[in-house]
Amino acid sequence: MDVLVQIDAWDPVASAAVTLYASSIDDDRVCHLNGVTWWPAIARLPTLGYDFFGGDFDSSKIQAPASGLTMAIEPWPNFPRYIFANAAFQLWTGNAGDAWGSWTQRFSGRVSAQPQISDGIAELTFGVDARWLDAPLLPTYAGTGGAEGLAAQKGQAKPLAIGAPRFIAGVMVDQVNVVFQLNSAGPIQDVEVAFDQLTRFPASVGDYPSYALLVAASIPAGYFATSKAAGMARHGAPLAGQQCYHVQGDNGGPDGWARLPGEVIRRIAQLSGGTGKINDASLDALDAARPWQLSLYADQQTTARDLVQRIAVSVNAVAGVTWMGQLFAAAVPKPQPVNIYYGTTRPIYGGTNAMFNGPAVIGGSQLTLQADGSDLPPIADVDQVPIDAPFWRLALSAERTWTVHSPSEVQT
Amino acid sequence: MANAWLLKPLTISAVNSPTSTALGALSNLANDYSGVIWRSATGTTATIEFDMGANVTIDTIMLLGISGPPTGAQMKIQAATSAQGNAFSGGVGSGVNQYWESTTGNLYAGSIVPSSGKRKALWSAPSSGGPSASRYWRIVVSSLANNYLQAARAVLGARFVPQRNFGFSGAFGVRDFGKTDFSNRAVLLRRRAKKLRTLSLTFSNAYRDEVEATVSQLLETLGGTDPIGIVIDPSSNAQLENRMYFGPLTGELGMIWRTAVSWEWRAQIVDLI
Repeated sequence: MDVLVQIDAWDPVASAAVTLYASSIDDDRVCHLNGVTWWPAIARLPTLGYDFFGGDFDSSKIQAPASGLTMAIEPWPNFPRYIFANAAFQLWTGNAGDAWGSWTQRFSGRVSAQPQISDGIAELTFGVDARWLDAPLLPTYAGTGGAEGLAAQKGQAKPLAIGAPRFIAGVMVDQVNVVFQLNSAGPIQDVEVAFDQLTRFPASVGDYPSYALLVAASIPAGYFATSKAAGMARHGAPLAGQQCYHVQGDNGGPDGWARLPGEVIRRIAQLSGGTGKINDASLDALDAARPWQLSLYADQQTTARDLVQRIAVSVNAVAGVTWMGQLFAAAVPKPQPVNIYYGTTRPIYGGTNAMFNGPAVIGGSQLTLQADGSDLPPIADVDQVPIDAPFWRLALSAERTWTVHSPSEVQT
Repeated sequence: MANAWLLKPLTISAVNSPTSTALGALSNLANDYSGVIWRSATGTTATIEFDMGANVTIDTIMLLGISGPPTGAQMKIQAATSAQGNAFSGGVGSGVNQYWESTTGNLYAGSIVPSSGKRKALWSAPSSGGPSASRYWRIVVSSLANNYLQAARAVLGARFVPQRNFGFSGAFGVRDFGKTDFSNRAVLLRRRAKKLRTLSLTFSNAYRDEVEATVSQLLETLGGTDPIGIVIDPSSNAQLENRMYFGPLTGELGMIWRTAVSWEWRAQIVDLI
């Protein structure tokens, strides 16, 4: 298998973009694919892999794949002066003689830093561009009054409610009109219940399509109304104590009212600017494998990287970023055995024709590796390595109370 | 058997062609990558013009990594001095726009196709009536029969022919860049890669004057990084293409004063194309 790499660098002297095409093989069937010249310059191929299983099921962050390669710089006399940091990096694999359409793009990312160049060989490191996961997820109030909050609220995060979070406090944006914002990402499905000191209000007296109309509405004291489109609730009179709500949250995404893990992850990713960078098939599969309804409320600034990982871990799934830069999440499957045969000539375990089963035997074998060469892929070596005791995990589920009231906040 | 030819490639300033390009750049004919090629559009004739930057003496031209032309394809060489210009419009002669032209011969140097599948062409100037030092050199390939001409490298230069040929014990080998290994259970572990020919010639009885005047300069300028063309036996032969090598010198690049009247030096190369 041969490898082609395209790097979109910058020439600061010419003040122009410069694209480098490199090949791992010096073959005319490869070096002129797709109408460009791929210079046979790759000296050492990158190793592509994923590293997202912590083993201890902690909530470590989503890891983006990264690797490196070395390449000769002879075809590009001005290579040392090019700027590579953050340059787009793409990698394809295929076989000599195949048409360009048969080559498969395996990686799309960014060069991490300016390469080290020594003896005419450049060492480049690159990784998937997953910076969008680290962008602040929640928008902030402008502090200009009305729906944008008081001047003192300028820069504070707007709330996000997904699923059906219970007992969320919301954020007061209009003290005069007693308006609380429950979700800023888009319209919400409904406000089921409003509480004041855990005392229920009667049902909403109406829903208004905007903040302005909500404020203009006449709401009797002791009642509340909503603007689902604005994600807000307004009370007819100032509250006596701590407020909270049962909300059917954001429904502004492609899944409408997002409830399942994949839907929630997709909505968060979209809000973080991940449109087009989401592996929807994996999220749909996650929803099928973990059809459990989740809820989420955030009123402190956070990132999609953090929230997505928390959601994935909560349903025993793994979230990551593919080599192509797409966010995915996959349910952790049940353990499957891999059988390793030592062959008939070198028995172990009391002279029997030994078979080494993996961990808990659940289901049939997924792969058989024959160390004696009687099956593919060929096995180079077999070693037994030390391993720690297996981790275990206790799963708990509950309907979370997002705002826990102290006794003084409960009306007696 | 004729004595071997050693050809140091001259620097090519520019490559042009009146023939349309189908793939790659003409300048690719001046680099040493066998996979980075130039391919003409299909037709009956393809012409490649080399601008050497100044009038230079050239008596040997190799065109390597050829594919496309049929067996009957023909080749001729044209040369024009700086004064004559590169119009090549005035016919054969010594005036402005005129040029020197070789006889037409077979494009392919031999008839046995090398194992790489890529063919080779070899032109040498006639012993008399050859071109003068010229700046513009043309390779004109005809009888393409509506095929394209693809080539990887053009080597132009003045050959060096040792007065005393290499001796027996010339070594012809292959360097396989792949790897074969076995597990401790004798399972074949293999990685296939490109295989290149190698050549090792020993010139055991070179004249001192020849070594001092030519060989030492050849080795000093080429070193172990720049390629050299070698034809171990330029006599017309079906195997002539297999007798042509092009690549960097490897191994010890020294010259040994072996006896009072003879020097010894070796040419070991890896054939790139």
